[in-house]
Amino acid sequence: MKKAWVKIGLVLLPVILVYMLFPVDKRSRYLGLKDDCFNHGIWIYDRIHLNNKPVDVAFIGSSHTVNGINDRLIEDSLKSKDLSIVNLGYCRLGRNLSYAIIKELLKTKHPKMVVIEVMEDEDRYSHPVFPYIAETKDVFAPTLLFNRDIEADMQEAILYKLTMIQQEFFSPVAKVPVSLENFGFACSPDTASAASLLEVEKRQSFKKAELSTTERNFHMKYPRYYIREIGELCKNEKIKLCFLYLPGYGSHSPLPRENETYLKYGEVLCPPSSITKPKCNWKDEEHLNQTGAAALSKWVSGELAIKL
Amino acid sequence: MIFISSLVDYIVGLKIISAPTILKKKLYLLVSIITNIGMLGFFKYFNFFIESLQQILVFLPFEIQTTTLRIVLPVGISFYSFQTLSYTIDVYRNRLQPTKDFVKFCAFVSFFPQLVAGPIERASNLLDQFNDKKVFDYSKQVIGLRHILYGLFKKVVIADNLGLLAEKIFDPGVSHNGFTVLAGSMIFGLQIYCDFSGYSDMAIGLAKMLNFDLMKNFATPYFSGSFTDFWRRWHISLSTWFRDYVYIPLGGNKRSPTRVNFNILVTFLLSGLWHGAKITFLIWGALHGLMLLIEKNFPSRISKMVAAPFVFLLTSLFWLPFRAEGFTHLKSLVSSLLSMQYSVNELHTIIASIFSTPKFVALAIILSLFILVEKMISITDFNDWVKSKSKPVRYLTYYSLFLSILLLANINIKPFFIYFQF
Repeated sequence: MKKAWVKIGLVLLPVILVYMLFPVDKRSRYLGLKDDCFNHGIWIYDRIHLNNKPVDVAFIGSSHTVNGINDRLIEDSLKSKDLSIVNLGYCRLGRNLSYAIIKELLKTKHPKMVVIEVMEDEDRYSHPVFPYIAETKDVFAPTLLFNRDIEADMQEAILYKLTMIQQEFFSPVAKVPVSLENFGFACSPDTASAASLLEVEKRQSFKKAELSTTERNFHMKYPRYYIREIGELCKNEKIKLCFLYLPGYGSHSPLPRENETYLKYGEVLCPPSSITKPKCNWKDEEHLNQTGAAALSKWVSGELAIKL
Repeated sequence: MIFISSLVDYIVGLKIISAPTILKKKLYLLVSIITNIGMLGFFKYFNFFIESLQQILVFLPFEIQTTTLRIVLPVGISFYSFQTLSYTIDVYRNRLQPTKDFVKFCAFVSFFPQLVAGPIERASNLLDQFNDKKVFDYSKQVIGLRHILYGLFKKVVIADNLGLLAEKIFDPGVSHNGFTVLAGSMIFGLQIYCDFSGYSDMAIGLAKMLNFDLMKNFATPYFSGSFTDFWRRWHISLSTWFRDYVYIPLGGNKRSPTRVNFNILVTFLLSGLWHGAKITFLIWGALHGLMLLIEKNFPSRISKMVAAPFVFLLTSLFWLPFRAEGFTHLKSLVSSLLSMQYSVNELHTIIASIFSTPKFVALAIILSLFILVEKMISITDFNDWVKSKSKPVRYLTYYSLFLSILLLANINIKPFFIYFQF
């Protein structure tokens, strides 16, 4: 039986090697995220690798960050400190993407500070775009601790690379011009209807069942692993790490549930209720609108001015 | 459903063998037939018969209230119902000793490689294989992997790519010219062949790796010199099932010429109906039945070389009712075909909207090589063909298949096999 598997392995080896060693342009991988999340995928790549402007403070998180952090406004507010601020948020949840983006960022830039968005609680699963842009070894040798999506991530990564190879051969994607836009903030001026936010308040008033400490320790193994990795990465690179608490509208949690985990690696910034409470600051129940983003960004500027 | 079917047929098998009289044996067999055909009829044909009844009753002066059911067709029901049915019929005919081992019988009915889309196995072939001690056999692994590789190639490279074209051509909302419909019928013919035979190859290969021998389901049917030959080479497990359990019990070819013609036609109509409760499947079955009647009653001496392209052309055209979404769609396809508008431009536009030129060229080359290999395989199979080649040719074939799968596999479509729906 062993002989058979060795022989099968040897026959397949050239195919696997061709697949693995076939060069795929990293930018093309980000280009594959076209039309997703305000086209932020390719912009993030260009900002990190092709835009020479340095990055001093990077905000990394979900659509809460994309919509809430006006990087241009923060940079203008901190003009005297001559800091380059950038919003590298990407829609949807999954802590492993924050890790992948920080790793990508550190390849060409050396920020003074990284601000990681946190919500009421950590998401337990893999980010849907993680297998597309993360380094191969991070996809194929991730933490095994309660990693529900490991198989799906590997499958997606393999198929995505296959798509890239096929594309390279048969239908090369037209070269997209490099975006030299410095800022990633994207937000709408719309305001959520009072009725919809009232609904949210009603929903929030029902207390969710709390997990026991044992259950929490079990469920949070996965995101905690990535928080620790991010913490280690920043520590090794001597980068200040901060966490910014950005819950949705109507949250009753003054602090994130994983506050203690975050405090091991950096300070947790919690915006005041004067920003999160007013209905006029929200585009929908999850995202701030331009007014809300301006208020939040001003407050964040003040905090950064003290810390940097 | 599969458990009920297995349980009933397991008990019926034992009861038939111990029944003291022929009448009792017949009664037990009837229980098996009613259970299996009843379940199949309920899940697959209930709505069809209700809707047909509605259409007939529309001529009556009064209105009759009928309701159709919104039920999901259990996966593989057409396949395992026929498989278990063949078991009880064979036991009834004293061709098979019933098993006393219920677990073994369930394993036979639900053997996973062929459960959802065949080949429809006979108990006489598969059941006893569960008694054998399974030991690792290197040569069987190699044979199995060869079948899987070739099946995978047929499915993901040929069928899935041709499927994209067929989907556009057979979009019921768009009407196309005659040439496009004609080409579409051939494209679909190749798609369904590669899709279904690809699945069968993979099922046979997987079973082989587990030390089971499944029956051959396809033997390069598009190189057939006649329709009779075609049905000996297409979906062999189903056509032999209908031959053994429908055609022969009806009298086969040992009756008067009129009765033989009737038997052929009924067998093919039922074969069409097996595919689904649609009038278009009945038309497909009837067309094939008619061709067999013509061949039987007016034998010709045309050489196979000359006849094969015509058989391919006609079987392709006969796929139109099979592929059509309904009778109205079929009418529209036939009227396009008869419109005598035979411009290539429309097909060219469709191809260009799906494939880049390099991909189309690569696919055309691969398809030509595939047809050449199929011609060489003839009535053997890929394993027999490739093992007769020298080592360099064998490895060249393997790596060509690997490379085609890597570069041309259509990986962005939802995984789907055409015969899963049956």
